Amino acid sequence: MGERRNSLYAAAVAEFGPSLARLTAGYELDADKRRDLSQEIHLQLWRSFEVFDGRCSLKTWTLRVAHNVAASYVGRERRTRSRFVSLEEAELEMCAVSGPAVLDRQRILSELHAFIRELKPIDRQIMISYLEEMEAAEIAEITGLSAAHVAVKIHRVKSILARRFREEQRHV
Amino acid sequence: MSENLQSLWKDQPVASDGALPLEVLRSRSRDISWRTRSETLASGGAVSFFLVLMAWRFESIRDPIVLLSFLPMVVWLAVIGWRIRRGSTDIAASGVEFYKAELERRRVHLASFWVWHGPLVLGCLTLGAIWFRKSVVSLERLVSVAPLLVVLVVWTVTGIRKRKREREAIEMEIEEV
Repeated sequence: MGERRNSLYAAAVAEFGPSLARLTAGYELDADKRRDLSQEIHLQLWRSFEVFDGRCSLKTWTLRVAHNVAASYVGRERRTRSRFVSLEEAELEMCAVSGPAVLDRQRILSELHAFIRELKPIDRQIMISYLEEMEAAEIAEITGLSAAHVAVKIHRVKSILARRFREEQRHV
Repeated sequence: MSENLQSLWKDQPVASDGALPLEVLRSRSRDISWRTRSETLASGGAVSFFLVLMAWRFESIRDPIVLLSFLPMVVWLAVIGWRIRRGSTDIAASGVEFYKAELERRRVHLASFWVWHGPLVLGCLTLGAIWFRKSVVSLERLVSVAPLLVVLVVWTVTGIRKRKREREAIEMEIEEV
């Protein structure tokens, strides 16, 4: 059983390690806290493989565990931070805001991270998965929402990103 | 446009894949198990110490009010112990299931004020009852404990209202999810 767990963990890290690192970055800006969160995700992932039952693919399992650990982290953090917004609220806010043009890739990335961290946990999962170029069906499997619901959310994500980063994109 | 953002996201520099060596994983996992076990043991030890101490004191006090409050307090502590031991959420559940379960747990925790704070409130009421009975013959004693009683009442009411607000916010979020 231990060997199976170790090999599943090794396979998950080999295949999805960079995705996990980006996912962690989407949840925490501070480098020290991000390292702690990353270690927590890896620890819980390794422990979870003890009961890996094949109910979903290795990718879905890995990303579910990572998002769930991060969602718990967000839940703890939210008691000390301001409230989160949904994609719907963010879309409404976009109509009223026209931010200054941001010229370089690093600043766009920073702003993207900042925007992701404002989102509620499930919307954050959708946004990060979309940025990871995952299909609606895959995102639906991770989040537990219907594929149609995810498709609507992705449409909203695209609209928000287009409005928010329209000016900046010209310079990327 | 958003395709550019996707490639920007995927090309972002990340420190490493974050993998932990197996020895570290095993050691941390053992640490967590040990910490959970030691916290349970420490809590059990503290409750036992409290009960033994109180039983010893009751023996000498023989106050009917204290004796009457002793049994519900023991039952209450047992209920708290049982609730703490309840299982955790399935870590590989889908995002919505997991998040909803986490919110439910938080909501139940906030809703069960009397379960978590019952023994403390009962202890305070018992103390107040004893003081009150003794103060019937002395108004000065009643006045001297009045500030403490006021603080306790304010603290309790503030706590209940704060929990109620937080619970309502969580209920709204559960509805949304």
